[in-house]
Amino acid sequence: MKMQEIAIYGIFVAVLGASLISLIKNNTFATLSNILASAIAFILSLYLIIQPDFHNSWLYVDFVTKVMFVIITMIYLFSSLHANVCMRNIKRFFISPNYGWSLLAGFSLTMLLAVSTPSLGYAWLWLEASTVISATLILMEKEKSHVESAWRYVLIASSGLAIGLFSIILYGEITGGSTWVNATISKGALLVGSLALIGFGTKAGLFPMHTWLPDAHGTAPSPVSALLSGALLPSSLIVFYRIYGVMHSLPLFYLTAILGILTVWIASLLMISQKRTKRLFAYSSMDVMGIATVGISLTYFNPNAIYFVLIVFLAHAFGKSALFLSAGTLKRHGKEEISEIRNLIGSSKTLSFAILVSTLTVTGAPPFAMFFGEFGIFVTLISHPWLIFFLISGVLLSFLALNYHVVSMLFSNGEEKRIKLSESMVPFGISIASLFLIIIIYFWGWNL
Amino acid sequence: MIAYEATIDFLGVLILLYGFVIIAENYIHSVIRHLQAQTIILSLLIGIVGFYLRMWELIALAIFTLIFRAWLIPNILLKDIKREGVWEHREFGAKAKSSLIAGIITAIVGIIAYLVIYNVIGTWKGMIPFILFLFGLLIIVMRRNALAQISGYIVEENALLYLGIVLYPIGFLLEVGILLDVIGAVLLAVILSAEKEYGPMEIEELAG
Repeated sequence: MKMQEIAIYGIFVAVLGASLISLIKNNTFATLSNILASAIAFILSLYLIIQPDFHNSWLYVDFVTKVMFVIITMIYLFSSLHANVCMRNIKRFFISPNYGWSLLAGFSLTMLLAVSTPSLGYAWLWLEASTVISATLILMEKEKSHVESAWRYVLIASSGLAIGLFSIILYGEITGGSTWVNATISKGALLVGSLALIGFGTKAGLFPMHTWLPDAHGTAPSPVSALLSGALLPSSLIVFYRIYGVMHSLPLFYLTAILGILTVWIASLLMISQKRTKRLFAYSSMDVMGIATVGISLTYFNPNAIYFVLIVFLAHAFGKSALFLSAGTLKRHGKEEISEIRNLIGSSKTLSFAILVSTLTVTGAPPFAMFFGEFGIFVTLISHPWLIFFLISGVLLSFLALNYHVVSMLFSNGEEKRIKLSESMVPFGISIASLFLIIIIYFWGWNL
Repeated sequence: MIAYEATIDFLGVLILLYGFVIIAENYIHSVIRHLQAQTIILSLLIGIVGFYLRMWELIALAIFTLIFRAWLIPNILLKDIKREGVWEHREFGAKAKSSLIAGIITAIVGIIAYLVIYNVIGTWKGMIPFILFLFGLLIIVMRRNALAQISGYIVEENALLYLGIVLYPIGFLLEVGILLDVIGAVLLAVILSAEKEYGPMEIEELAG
């Protein structure tokens, strides 16, 4: 067995092990097993990056998969480290905390499997499994609003994914197989590609199928919101990217790029009027997925455009997990509305630093990591002046909308209520790590 | 071969007719019974295709669908609504006539839309499940009651399996069928538990 194969199976076994161990009714045991498993999985994912690609009949681990492994295991680690701070907010549990831990590991496992399978059918299957697991996680707190959010999420995401399955069945009928590896399609590329775009785009929160997203992200416990935003949305787009690569159709390029730009615009406009922090961050995730969708569409002209998309996903993973985990800390202090959060800089310097750096990261401000990815996408799009005009104006609008709200939370006058250092350590650590990411991306960027 | 195809087509038409009945039905109790009947016919169809193609996965899927979706889920639902007498004859609030008209319009739109698919794959075999799939979406969008939306979800599930069976009967359909049923069961568990605590769940709109 090759070293990279051992590492891949090690990641799966660690996460599956944590999920099973957490079924034992002991919260401390469940917490520790998840932290340990996520740390092992993250280290093995980093190790995989420097290893050669690996393929067999049920696994396809190329560079894209390896980066997705790093993203998923990293957010799983951050979420595990910060979960106890956020779990204390929950007054009435719908499911007991140890089952929550088991589902958190299970959720991560389904995403790891979805991005590493060469079969589109099984990728669909794992994404659908992630829907049911994450919906159960949204229900951790027993509140009517949570039931309604989970309900909307499952119905809309499953209906969308049903269209995705429809596209895979048509793909199978036309190509005679369900794998995307070395596949070509002789006819119906636009039809199959558009259905896949609607289907997997629903799960990625693309306009107009995004209606589940703000509710689900807003009501889920913060560690789950971080995983939903930073890992699940990109995983769905990566499955779409695999299908898109086979289609190779110019009309599909325009359709995908326009849907991406529309998503950026709608998310940016909706961000302006948001009142709650987590819904604001949810719309920001939608905006970033719009940019990434444009990046994926550009692989029609330049296959290397996927590297810019991966930079966007990596930066978004750091930024959005820090923002959602910070929102979890603020919720613990009874602050969910943007208008309630005033003079945060006076309450906690570390939390304010984390929120500021993460906001600048996810809005693509130079020299933060996301900027390199967005800049690469803009440059690749340069031959389409109208598309680039609308994309850049949408990105600027989202920059202003998110930063306006964050600046008002951080610097406006208000009473100071101290937030313990221990409650802001994980978001602070993530934001420091995201600064190191700038250096890595900078040197990696020169090689692209 | 001709008898096999005629049987599949006949069962397909029956499944579609039940789709119309489910759209127009206004009482929870009856909707569950119609869903049960539709799923039994689907199981039979899957079983026949599996037997004809000698694919054990499809025969297993037929048995699983019969046990889980045609027997277990409807019986849990029926037991639950019997427990609360007031729910047994509860109406969904949608008018039967307008629902039926919406169903007919959807079917016509489905036939026209299927022309695009026909131009690509060159077969009409997928038309009935495609229309049924649109019916499932229509029920989810049209009905506000959570239990009624589950019925839309099950119609959609039936349509997907049917589509897979007639177009591309591959191995992973068994896993798809099992997963879809697990999701159906989770939806059911959530809604029954929530309705016990908060009363009937009327979801005003699917936009959050």
